[in-house]
Amino acid sequence: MREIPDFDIYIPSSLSDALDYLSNEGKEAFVIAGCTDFIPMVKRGRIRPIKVLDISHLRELRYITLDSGFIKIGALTTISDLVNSPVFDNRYGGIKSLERYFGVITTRNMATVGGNLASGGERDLIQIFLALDAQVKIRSLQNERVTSPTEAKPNLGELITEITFKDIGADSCMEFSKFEKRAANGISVCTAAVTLKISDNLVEDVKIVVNRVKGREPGRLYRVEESIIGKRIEDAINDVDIMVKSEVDPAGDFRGSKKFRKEITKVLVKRTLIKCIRTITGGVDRV
Amino acid sequence: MKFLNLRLKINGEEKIIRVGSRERLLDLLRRLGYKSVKEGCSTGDCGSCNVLVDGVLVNSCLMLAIQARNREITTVEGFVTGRKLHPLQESFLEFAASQCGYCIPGILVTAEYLLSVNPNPSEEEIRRILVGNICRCGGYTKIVEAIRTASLLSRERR
Ligand SMILES: Cc1cc2nc3c(=O)[nH]c(=O)nc-3n(C[C@@H](O)[C@@H](O)[C@H](O)COP(=O)(O)OP(=O)(O)OC[C@H]3O[C@@H](n4cnc5c(N)ncnc54)[C@H](O)[C@@H]3O)c2cc1C
Ligand code: FES
Ligand code: FES
Repeated sequence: MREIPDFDIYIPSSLSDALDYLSNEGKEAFVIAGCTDFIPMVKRGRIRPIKVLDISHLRELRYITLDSGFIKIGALTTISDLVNSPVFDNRYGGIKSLERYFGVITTRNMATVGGNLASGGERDLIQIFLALDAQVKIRSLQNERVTSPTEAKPNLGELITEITFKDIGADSCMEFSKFEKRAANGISVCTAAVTLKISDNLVEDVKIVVNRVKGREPGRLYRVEESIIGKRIEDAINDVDIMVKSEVDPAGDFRGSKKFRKEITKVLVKRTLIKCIRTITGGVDRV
Repeated sequence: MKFLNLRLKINGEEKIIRVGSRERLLDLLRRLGYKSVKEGCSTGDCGSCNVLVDGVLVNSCLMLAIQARNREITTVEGFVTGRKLHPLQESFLEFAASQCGYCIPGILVTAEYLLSVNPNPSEEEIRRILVGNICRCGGYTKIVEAIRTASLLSRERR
């Protein structure tokens, strides 16, 4: 482990002060929030910051609201805030499940939503927000853009400010499952995030996301989704695993070979769909 | 800036301290003599550096000291009043729940946090929160029993 090098730190008084700093004297600055990725990266020598912008105290970026059918989450919302928010009832089992799947209690108390998206890779919220069809708002002093959770890596001078998605509504459920080697270190082998809407026992809409669709890229399984929309839920469940296995092409590594990951992903997607169905049908076991 | 004069409270005591930008909360606390706060992994994996910041459990190895400005920090040193140990400490002694003791301050702070949000945790809940605290000496059985007993005793006292 390396020593943390000396750096200049700027503590902004507001979001606009932070954006101003980033577009002027802080052009090369590294943004920090919960530091759960930042400090390990510095200690492992992966980054050597010279200037740092600390946004951790900006309360204006820490909120969860439900307004006119849209949920808005400020970038500095922590994982614990998500888990404990009354906005997320049992239809959002995937968000509640972060209490089990996301790091440990200290990580959840410190890690922010914006930091998770900015760090990218196979991090959990990217997949959860992808399954919720969320949009990520990214701001610089001059500009504001909206992007998908997989494209949310900010450029220099930019800050992630908000995540928005449409409330999933009635007869719907969002669930998440994760297979990991050790409960506390957070690095997934395989994950599945599913949002399902049922109407009259038929699949009305579904979004299925896995951590490695191809190589190391997280993404949606569009072909699998299309093939089960309109089906009776029992039939949808019956066919889904074979199809998932043929659609994913994950890179293997020391945590799991390609073959192993395909098998586990297949099982996780099926189980996650079943979890959704059980929640929507009130726990009635029909699958 | 590379240095900042911070105002913060540690175990109820107001302090104004000059800190460097690169100092972590863990480094600052140890520099000031709060040696119960231990460095294990430095990456948020072992829990031996756990402290409370405004009553919230965090890893002090993953927080810059500067980020603790205007906040209230609690370490195990703050558990003791006069010469009287905290009920959790008494219970750990009673159960001989500590071996080398390196992980114990982090576990005590974690247990205090658990009891503040859930005064009557089940064994399962205690075990679940302790996944973030690594003890390499012994098993967790005595630690879990000590926490469970302390929670029951403090309920009786209330
Ligand atoms: C023990 C442990 C377990 C973990 N377990 C999991 C897990 O189970 N699942 C998981 O997904 N992750 C896990 N993580 C990683 C997770 O904690 C981080 O990805 C976290 O969400 C990053 O947020 P942060 O606020 O800590 O960001 P920081 O560490 O402060 O910053 C991380 C990156 O994001 C950038 N950044 C932060 N906020 C913004 C913003 N608003 N705008 C622009 N850029 C920004 C920073 O510049 C930096 O590049 C774990 C980490 C640890 C230490
Ligand atoms: S030293 Fe902080 S968690 Fe290990
Ligand atoms: S008592 Fe030695 S590490 Fe826990």
